[in-house]
Amino acid sequence: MLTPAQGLLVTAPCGIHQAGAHLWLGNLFHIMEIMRKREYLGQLELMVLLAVVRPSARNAYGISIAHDIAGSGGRQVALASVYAALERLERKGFVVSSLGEPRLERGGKARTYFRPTPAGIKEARETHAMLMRLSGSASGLGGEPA
Amino acid sequence: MTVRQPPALAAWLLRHLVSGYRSESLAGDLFEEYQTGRTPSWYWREVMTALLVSARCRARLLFSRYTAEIILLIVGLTGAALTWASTFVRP
Repeated sequence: MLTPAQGLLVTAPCGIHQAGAHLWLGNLFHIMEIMRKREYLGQLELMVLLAVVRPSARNAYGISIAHDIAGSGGRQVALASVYAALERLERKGFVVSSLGEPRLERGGKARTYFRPTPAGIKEARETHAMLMRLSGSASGLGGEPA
Repeated sequence: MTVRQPPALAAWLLRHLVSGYRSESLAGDLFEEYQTGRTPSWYWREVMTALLVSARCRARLLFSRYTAEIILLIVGLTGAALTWASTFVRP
């Protein structure tokens, strides 16, 4: 449902009158905020999300995720980068975390375990399907490099 | 079980300068992985990356919180510089 401020943009998109200028600007910021909220997954975020979504990743934590990415033919990823990606994914609501018990072999520190949310599984599925469709139609990928 | 201690200075930097999201778990992960035979240079590289990531997050947070103030400061300084230049600098 449109608010009065949103309606102003629809009815008078190019006529910025003095009285309504502040409303139009407010509207612009509102649209920018909506655009900012619909963020796409970055490459590392997608790799991390796929590593968390895997059925074998029941107790996924930093090291296991980094090993999964490296073991799948990906590159070596710094653990801090994995955690930064996990933070963004948790903020977007795609994973949830829980703290385990402190362990002696970790210097008394606890592990943080990550699980995908239904929204995270949906996002991973949709992004994966889109990439498969795109790569299926990209005939240049299978040939010799130019 | 023999515990390998990571490089002391790197561990100190990690403990005192890296903060924020799950920093304790990150420190634990680095310690755990170091026990599997990783080299001190690997540990140093990971700590340096953690420092950079942490600093970038702090800067982003600071900018997002004080965006208006930072823009006003830049505009104010530019205005002051232009005023000074037009007053005192003669062609």
